[in-house]
Amino acid sequence: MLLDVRSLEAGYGPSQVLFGPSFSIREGEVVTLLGRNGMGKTTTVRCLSGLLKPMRGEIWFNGKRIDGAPPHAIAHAGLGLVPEGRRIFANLSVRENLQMAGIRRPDRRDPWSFERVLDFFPRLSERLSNGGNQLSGGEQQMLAIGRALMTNPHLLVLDEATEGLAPIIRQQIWAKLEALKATGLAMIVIDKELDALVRFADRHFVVEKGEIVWRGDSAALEADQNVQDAYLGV
Amino acid sequence: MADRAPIGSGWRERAPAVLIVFLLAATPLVARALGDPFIVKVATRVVVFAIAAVALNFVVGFGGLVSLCHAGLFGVGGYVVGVLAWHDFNAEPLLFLPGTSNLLVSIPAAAVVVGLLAAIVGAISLRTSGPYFLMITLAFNQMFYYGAVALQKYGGEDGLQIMSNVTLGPFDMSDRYRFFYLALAFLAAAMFVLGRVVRSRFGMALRAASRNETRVIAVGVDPWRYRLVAFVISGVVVGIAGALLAAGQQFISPVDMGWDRSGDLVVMTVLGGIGSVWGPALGAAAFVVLELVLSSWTSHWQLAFGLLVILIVVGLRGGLADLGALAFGRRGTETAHG
Repeated sequence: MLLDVRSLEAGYGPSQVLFGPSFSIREGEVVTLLGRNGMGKTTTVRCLSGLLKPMRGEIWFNGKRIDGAPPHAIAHAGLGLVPEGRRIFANLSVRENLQMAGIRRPDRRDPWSFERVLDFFPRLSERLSNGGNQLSGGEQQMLAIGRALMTNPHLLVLDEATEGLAPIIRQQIWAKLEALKATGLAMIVIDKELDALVRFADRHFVVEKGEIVWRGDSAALEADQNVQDAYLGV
Repeated sequence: MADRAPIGSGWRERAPAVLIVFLLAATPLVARALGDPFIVKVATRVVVFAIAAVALNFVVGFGGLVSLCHAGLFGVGGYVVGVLAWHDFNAEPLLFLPGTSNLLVSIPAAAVVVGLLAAIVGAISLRTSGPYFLMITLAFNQMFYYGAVALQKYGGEDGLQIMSNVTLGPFDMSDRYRFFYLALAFLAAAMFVLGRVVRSRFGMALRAASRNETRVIAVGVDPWRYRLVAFVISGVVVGIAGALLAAGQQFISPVDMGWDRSGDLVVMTVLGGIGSVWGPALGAAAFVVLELVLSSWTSHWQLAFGLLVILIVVGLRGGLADLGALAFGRRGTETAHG
């Protein structure tokens, strides 16, 4: 098991957000966290990446217990995060945005390097000396994903990776994520675009009020109109 | 504050720093031609404060940490040189070590002492941020200040006069011209080394952390460690500047390390421009010269000075460095290509 989350409880101050969800992810698997806003998806991500210390429960990653570990140590352990919101360093050039993030892993076959990231996102190689703030939304997202890849993660967590992007750009990002999946990289994806997620991901977890209320593969999710209406309806 | 352009690389970025060093190098020639050695004295003061401002900007401009203890660290550097020279002159050992007036010993000693102090100040104050960081560094500055006042043996409030002849190995450094070039060499070295560090991976992470802490942590960087190292580097350089001030004017006093002096250093930095390594050197030059010129005209010089600072900071968002960048064909707020 690559990631094993056991009875996770977490919150902010006196208000508890997560009430004990448990889930796990295998090597090379792509899963999603689904559910409406405010149900605990981002809180779960914050716990995984160490930005929020869980109150109870355990998080095991690659055979090591990581809950409560400092976030930079979790990144070194191989959990790569593409956080939501504005994702690039505007005061650094595109080149620097990528180079600042390198983590080398000697055990890794075919590691991600600066050159390989540019091969993967050719758009970025045209804009290397541009400031991060001069990129389009899609380019910024590619840069954020590229920066996470520079840490050579075993698991990539994408929080709202396509939010606020034009449909055609979203398609490009999904295509890139497909290509990453083909390399065997495990991913946790949070997104609103259910159609794309059903096509792209292997398994899904529906989060409602801090608990996982439904889990299953893409075929089961497509077939289950009830769960779509009850928890994912817009 | 507007997003600053990323640091470019190559000759264009370094050209202004090289030009600053060359122009300063010419001032003794001007002084000789005009027969006015006072110009060299002013130029030495410009260079010393330029080193201090460049050092401070390493944490302010690139680390996002406005420190108010740098005058304190600056003064401690000066006191290390002064105290060692005092023990040399009075032939009295300092604990078990002999004193010295040789800058080959006392400047590295100042760098080490101030570096250690900066490590302690940084380790504590970097646990906080924003206004709390300001307050803690200010408190440390005042501890250094009152520490110097309490040094009765070394002049206390009146300051410490260096009575011995300051040397650099075999060279007598009481020669004003020679000393000026020594200080200028340190300024050139400081701008070169800090420029390299700012462009290194360490510098990238430091700059990135000044913008968004969460996001640098997400790529495995512990910002606290990077900031602490940056704070110590900055402290070492500002300590060297203080050592040069004391050695150059043969005098150091608590006045040089008051909290208002820390504020002056911040003004020099912002006035010159926090977006480049060399900008604060311009700010220090403008500050020292304006202080001198305006105060010779009127005792209310700070009023005029304040207006000028406001005009420059509002008019040129990148500080005086914007003027320099204009001269080199691009505005500092735009982005370099190639």
